[in-house]
Amino acid sequence: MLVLRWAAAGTLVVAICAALWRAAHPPRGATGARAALARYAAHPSAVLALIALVSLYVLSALAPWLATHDPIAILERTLSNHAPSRAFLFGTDYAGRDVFSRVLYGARISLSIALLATSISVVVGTLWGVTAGFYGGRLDALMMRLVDAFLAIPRIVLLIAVGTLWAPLSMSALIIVLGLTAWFDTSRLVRAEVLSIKDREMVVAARALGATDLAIVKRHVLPNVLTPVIVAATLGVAGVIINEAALSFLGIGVPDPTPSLGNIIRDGTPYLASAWWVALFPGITLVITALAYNLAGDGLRDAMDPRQVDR
Amino acid sequence: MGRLLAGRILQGLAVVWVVATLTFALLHSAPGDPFSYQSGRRIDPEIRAHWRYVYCLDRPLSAQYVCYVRSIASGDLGYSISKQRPVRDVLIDYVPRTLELMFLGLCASFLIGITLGVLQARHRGTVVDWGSRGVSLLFYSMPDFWLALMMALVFAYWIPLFPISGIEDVVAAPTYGWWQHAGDHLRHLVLPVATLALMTTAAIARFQRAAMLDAIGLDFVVTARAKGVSEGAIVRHHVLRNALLPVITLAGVTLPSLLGGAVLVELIFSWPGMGYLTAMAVESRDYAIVTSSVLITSVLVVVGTIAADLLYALADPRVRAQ
Repeated sequence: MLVLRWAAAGTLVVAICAALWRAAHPPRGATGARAALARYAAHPSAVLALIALVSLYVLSALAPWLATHDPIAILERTLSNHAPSRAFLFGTDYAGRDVFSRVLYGARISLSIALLATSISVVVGTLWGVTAGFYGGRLDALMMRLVDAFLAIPRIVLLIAVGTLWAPLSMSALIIVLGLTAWFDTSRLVRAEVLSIKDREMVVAARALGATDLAIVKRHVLPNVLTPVIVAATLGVAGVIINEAALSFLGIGVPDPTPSLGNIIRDGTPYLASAWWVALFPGITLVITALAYNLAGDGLRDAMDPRQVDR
Repeated sequence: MGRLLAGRILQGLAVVWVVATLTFALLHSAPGDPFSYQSGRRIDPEIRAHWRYVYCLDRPLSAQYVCYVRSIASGDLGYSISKQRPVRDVLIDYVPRTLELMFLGLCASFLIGITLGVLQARHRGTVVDWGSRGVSLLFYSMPDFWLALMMALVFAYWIPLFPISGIEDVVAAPTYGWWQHAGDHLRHLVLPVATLALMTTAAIARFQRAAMLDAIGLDFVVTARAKGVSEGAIVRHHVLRNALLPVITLAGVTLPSLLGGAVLVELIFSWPGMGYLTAMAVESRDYAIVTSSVLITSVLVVVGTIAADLLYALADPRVRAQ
């Protein structure tokens, strides 16, 4: 039965990829999003990254349906730190839990946290950058000096401080904290873009016609900052996933026994020499996820901004 | 030059002040105060009252803030309840070991990164180019702590080449002469430094490659090529010289990720530096250590950035003249 389920999930991945592939080969002279998708598809590494991401999201979303065991239930004691076998594809951890199922569920938690946290950071970073860039002057100077100060703190050190002082963080607090420490670069990018836009003729004309600040921002500024924001967000997801894993690894992220990729590695660390599989497989999943997001971000940058092609 | 330096130092001080305010806000908004618990046990009320008096916690918020900034400015970073010593004394022991890792990690990652960048630019579009870019991006995408674990697994457990923990061999060290001490210390350095270098080198290689490609398109390179200068000589004398400068500024950007990486890398290799101290403070809920490490790492980043800017100004006659 399980084999059939996996076959169905595999088919779904292939179907989504095929649909994307067809969309990426538009009729000649296509413009806008389809043309951008076609430029994206011209990068083999970006295509591979997208396939990896589609698989990761489909498989982890279907985790309850695809897992071979219960990710939290402790199996028999005799099965602790069992090497990978046909019954336990990635082996078992010290408590005798199936690592394969934990990685599936863990990826689901980690990917969800990263997506939600990145949404927060995109909103905050864009608002911050637009406000600073659009109003300029003292407000701009003040806001950007604050960003300078935040950027001077290694992010993981700040996260550790927050996690320790407010321990234990609930899941929603964790997402908010990860989001609120990830927007600094975005705000800088957005501000730079706003500065280059706000004195262009279209904005001057809109202002002459009596448009309000809000209308100008909505109509002219936001559409133009969309490209750098999307690219920064894609690259940002990779960073957030790694930071969440680091916090969970330290025991101040996702609380036990809920699996997250960082948690599972934490469980494997004391037994690294004898049961390496516990730390190895969630780590590989993390690397694939982060790498895919980094490659996808690079591909998106080339696809959405043809001026700035990476040579 | 002097004005440039003065301006940068003022900016740096402003950054540190904002960070100090942030750590104050963090400490203040946290549930409980630094002196309510020690290793899970409630601290005696009289002792707690004494500490609260010493660190101004019994006064109004504004007075607490003034007191906090004043004590930081005078170098008093609070009292570590897990180490039973003032944080400053603890840091004096631990920070130099982190600086050692940082310096060697920075050197290694720049050396590897610049070499890779030059190679990639020279062999642009070939297997060398995309192969090495892929590998460095792979390391860049690895969580630092996992890379450290895998290094320990492969090079300490499976192939026992290097020791996995500490700064020296605790058992054998007393019998060593000084050169054996040095060798032993170096062996302990290899894995943590390699981990830090591998994870930061991709950004440097990428930057160096782009800088090389920018310089290759410049007029004097075309002229040199037209005069029949060999490709190797062009790269060495014309391209590399111009492309090396911008990379210096990257040192300031690399420092935060290197210092952040050091936290978990030091924990895994039990390297008794500031990162290890911070990670251990998570377990013991030592507020003073955790917030001080936010402050100290940001000071190190600010100092590193100013140093990189200075170095850049010294190396580039155009900036020096300004």
